[in-house]
Amino acid sequence: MSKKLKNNIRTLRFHQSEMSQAELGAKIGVTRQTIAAIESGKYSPSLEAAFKIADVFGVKITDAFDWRE
Amino acid sequence: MSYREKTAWLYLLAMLVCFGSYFLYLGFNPSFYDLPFLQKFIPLSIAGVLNMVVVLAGHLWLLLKTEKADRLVGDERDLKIEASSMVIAYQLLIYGMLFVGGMLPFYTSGWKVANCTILVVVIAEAVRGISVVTKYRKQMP
Repeated sequence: MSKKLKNNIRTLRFHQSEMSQAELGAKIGVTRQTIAAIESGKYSPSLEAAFKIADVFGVKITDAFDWRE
Repeated sequence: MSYREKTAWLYLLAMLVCFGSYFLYLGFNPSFYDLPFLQKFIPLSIAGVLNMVVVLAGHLWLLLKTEKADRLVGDERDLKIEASSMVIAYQLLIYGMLFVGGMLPFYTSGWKVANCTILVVVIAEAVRGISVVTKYRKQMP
């Protein structure tokens, strides 16, 4: 089985009072469409963007992203 | 649809319509090659100027229609999409230029070589544009 980069951004947004994709995008300097692509697993963000996303939610990068089947 | 995707559509459609019309005109007017030298520039100039006007007007319209916050310079995904599309178009352009510059002059000359050169540039640019909009639609670079 091949592993893929998965993320918990949808859940993390929900816990942040349903933060919108546009708001999250604005906080890390990317478009709403890029957040949507990351969330759906169609685009793997750069390490810098991944750290920024984790930072926005105040969690470790491994809580926002993980490498699993 | 993001601002960058809209501008990618604008560039692609404007180029296909304007230069597509030019090559259609050439296809239906074989007498083009009999025209006096300077008159041959007229259809190409019209296509070029029309393309510029459509792109400028479309860009202005998009700028007015889009909120300032949405007009990002381009995030990492935009840049990846641009870069990967550029690679395909560049390969095509190199092979096309080798053909029109290295082989075509042995078979024909003058305006036919010039028009083939323009056609290669238009095809390479169209492939780049199609690749960009396809990647935006599929959400992946």
